[in-house]
Amino acid sequence: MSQSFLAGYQVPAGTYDEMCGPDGAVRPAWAALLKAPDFASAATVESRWQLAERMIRENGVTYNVYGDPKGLARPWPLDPLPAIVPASEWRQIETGLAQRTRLLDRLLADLYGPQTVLKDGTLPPALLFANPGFLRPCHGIQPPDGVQLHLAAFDLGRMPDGGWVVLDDRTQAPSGAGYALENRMVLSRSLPDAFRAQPVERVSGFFRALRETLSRAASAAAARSRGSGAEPRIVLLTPGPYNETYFEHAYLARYLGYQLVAGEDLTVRYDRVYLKTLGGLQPVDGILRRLDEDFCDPLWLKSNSSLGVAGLVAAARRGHVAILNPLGSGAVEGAGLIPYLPALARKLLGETLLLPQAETRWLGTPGALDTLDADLADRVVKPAFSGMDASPVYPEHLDVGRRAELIARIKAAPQRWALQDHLPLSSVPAWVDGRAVPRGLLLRAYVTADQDGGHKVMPGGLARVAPEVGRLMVSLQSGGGSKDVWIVGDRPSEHVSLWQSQPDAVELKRHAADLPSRVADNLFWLGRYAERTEITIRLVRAARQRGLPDLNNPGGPAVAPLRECLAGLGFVLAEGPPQPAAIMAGLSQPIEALHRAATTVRDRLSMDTWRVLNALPALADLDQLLQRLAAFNGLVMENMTRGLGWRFLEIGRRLERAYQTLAFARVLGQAVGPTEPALLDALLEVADSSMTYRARYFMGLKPAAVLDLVLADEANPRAVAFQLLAIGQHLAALPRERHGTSTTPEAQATAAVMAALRRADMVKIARGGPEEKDGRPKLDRLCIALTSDLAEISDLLSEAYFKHAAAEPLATAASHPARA
Amino acid sequence: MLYSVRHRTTYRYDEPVSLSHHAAHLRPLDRHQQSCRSHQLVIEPLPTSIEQTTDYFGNGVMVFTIAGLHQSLIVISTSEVEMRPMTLDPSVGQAPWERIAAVAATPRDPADLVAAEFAVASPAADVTPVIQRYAAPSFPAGRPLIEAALDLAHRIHGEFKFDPTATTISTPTEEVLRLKRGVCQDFAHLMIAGCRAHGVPARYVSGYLETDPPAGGKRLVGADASHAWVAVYAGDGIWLEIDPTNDRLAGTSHVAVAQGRDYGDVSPLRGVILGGGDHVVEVAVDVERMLI
Repeated sequence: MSQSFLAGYQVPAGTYDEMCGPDGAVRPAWAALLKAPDFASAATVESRWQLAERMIRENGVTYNVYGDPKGLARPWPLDPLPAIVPASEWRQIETGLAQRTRLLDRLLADLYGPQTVLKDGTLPPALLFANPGFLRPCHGIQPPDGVQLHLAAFDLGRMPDGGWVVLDDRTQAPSGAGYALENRMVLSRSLPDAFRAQPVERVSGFFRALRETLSRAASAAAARSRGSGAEPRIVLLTPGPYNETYFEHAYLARYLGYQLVAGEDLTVRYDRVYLKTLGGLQPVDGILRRLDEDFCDPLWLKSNSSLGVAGLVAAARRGHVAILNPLGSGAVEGAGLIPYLPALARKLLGETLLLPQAETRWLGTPGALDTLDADLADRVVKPAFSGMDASPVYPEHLDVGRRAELIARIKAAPQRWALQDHLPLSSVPAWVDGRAVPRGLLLRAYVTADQDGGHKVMPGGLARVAPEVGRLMVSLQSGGGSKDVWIVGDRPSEHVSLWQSQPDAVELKRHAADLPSRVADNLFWLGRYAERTEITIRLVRAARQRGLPDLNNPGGPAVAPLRECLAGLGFVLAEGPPQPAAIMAGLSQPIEALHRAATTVRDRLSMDTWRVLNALPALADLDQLLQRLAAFNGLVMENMTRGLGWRFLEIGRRLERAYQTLAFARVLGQAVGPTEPALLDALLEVADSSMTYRARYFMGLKPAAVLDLVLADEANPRAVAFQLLAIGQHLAALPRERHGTSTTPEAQATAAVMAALRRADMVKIARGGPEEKDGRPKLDRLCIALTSDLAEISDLLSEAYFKHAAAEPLATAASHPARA
Repeated sequence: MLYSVRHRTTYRYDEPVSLSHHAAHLRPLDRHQQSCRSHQLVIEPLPTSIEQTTDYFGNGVMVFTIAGLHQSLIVISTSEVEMRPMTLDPSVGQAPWERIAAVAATPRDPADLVAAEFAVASPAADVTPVIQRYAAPSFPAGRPLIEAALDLAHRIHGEFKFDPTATTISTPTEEVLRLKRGVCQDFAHLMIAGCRAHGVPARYVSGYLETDPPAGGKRLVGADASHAWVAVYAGDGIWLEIDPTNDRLAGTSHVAVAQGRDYGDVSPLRGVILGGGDHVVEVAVDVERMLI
């Protein structure tokens, strides 16, 4: 019955296949999956796959590819077929991985402490001393909870004999656990029958353990820095939206309930870490670190990093902050260490290393290079250390010249390289072009420290498949796919989801004054870009309607002024009949700016709001774009809590609308004489006020009436006056630590602009100059004056709330010459 | 011999700085050939917090923070250091360099293990094939370590032009080798990398050098500067200090402040600032021999 789904599935000879045994029969653990209606035929799998794809697209699951201009926010590649591992097999892996994590934890404690393993010769000193992951400023730091390694990941492969081996350890800031969680969410929904047909072990317990571990560590830090009983504050530190796995950072922060912050949101004072918020500095006790450790402190670590927090090392040394993983944990990540782990396990744990590992040789040992050329056959060259800017190299894929280059590179610094036996990966069915084909499988498993020195292994993980048959490199950066991993046993597992349950007592919060100033800044710009995009589209649409050559329409004279308005926005509208493709190309710039702004605050937007904005770049029609923007505005109005974030987004939007309205009112309101009606008509249209005008004035277009409606009417949501009133109300609601109860400069400035607008007599403003070509000089002057006042409000706002420029490393003075 | 050292660093910023963190390696070392009799640091503006600590390499570090707007930073370090002449036992450094490289690769006692840390590349003293080839003529098989190290220093001194305008603190050693120009730091880094390319431990020493006044002239105040030289491991816990800039063994006029793998570990005053815009930095050093 599953024939049609498996039709043509051919396992290459000599390969261990996860699904089919050597006789071609389906392995027992896979039976229930294949019997599920989801797998009835190729057509059902295809439809499930489309469902999964849509969920991924709509949830905005992405990863970024460096060096690829289109690489930002690529959809996450998920295969619709899970990889299944029988629970009995997994229990052994679990025991082995927990032991391995315990070993690496103890090894870190030794390397950053007494270094006994160097003194007794268990580990060659160069493996530590030449290791860029050994952060000397972190030597001697005691983590507040005593744990050196809270979260580790391991890459596992299966040998032809069916046994699992470890290929790589990840201890610095392991990525992918959040994608594994997302994969599970998507697959459990898109394959509901198959998922329910058997007891698949749940992964949420792993995340609960992770959260409890971090909570314990942060509580210990809080007790040291602020006295016991202090409620710990934990943040997730990200390098930002341009990082490869930013989606995961935002996703995990939300799932675990932590604030997502960038380095510039944090500051260190008196060896304590604080979050810079609109309401002032708030203490931070725990950091889930997704920023590479050497970037974390420009004072003590990589001095050219602008992503870190100066003084973080000192705060960690005092035990005032718990960092997960602690700074320096990358020292045990590279392949160079692998050959020494069995001896280290005996030495540090008094145990035999349980899980087999790929045969690996560190090239820093004496004589290791003697037979290098021959040794490269059937082996992989891996960086010996983490943090080296190098990926694994398969010498057999290189031509003669490249191979010689590689050998020269290794010989120049042999300590930096390791040789690992090239293992044939097991195969697993992957869904490619509507059918199941075998692909190489690499499994990344995750381990977190648990209470009382124990460890918890995620039952499952992130499987990655090679992009082509026989292709050995498995990397998402180079186009491989991912799979969910189902551990299938005979007992149902407990279901806990962190989305709903919060095991701890929750302190209810209505108002979040701890909005980071950087986020307020980004939301402000999101508001501005959304409005700017909308106005650009309105102007383009007005110009296009009036520029159609086959229509003898009276709007013709407005085309040139509309084009002038657009030029002010940086949009160059070509002469002649409108070219839809050129128009959409011109719009791509503001839309991209909007999309980028949305990306930076993605974790602050609801899923629906993000979906609306995420869909913008793909739209190819002006009306559709306007509708989407209207949907965004509606969501902001209806779904966003009236917190500080919402206020800053609104201030940005209002300020931009006031600004742009003044700009096009000044141009379109100028005309006196025969072109006047056409331009006033365009002005009303762009200001979306035509209906209001016609409802209010049953007469032709009168300049004073039009200008009053667009500029001074405090009841018209499109008028400048309306924006100023709204800005004033928002400003009054912001925290004003600096000024006590007195009015802030930005509120004063807003009130002054409002007063100036109220004083302006629209009948006088609408009067033309002595000659027709003079236009309306008073209108001109009013618009210029108000525009410059608005710019001042914007400056005052950023001075007061957004001033958080990233810290810069100082250039140090060069040592001067001294010749005796 | 007693020296008085005054080291003044001034940063001026175009825009106000609202917060700055600094770490200063300015306290002269206490070790067998020298004692730091007194040391004080004057910082303007007054730091919000300040702490004296010891870094991984055992150097004294003053860590301070200035919270509050400031547009300049002045750090004046004043020290009195007693220098003792050292006599070199004729047997020191007579072992072939290969033996030193071997003990550093598989250290058996604590002193050798300390040295092992300096036998491998570090960020500012990277070991590359080009540098290996450059240094190789100084390391023929079986040559006593001291001869090899002095020969390398001698060649650097002879072949490189002293030129403060040719390089910056971030110029890579390979580039220095290409330019054949540089300052004391560059020469020290090159020599360190050349030794390490042969497995011989070498470390960076930062400090001061007493300079002689121009013939017949008066000593100019502030004309001295911070200096850098190299310590090469000679086995048995003994390090030979060699100044490639001046082609000689370091002596009583070399006042050491800090030692590390390279400049990056021991830069005299590093910092991270919030705000500030562009900045300029001025350094003035006076090393004066005191009459006792």
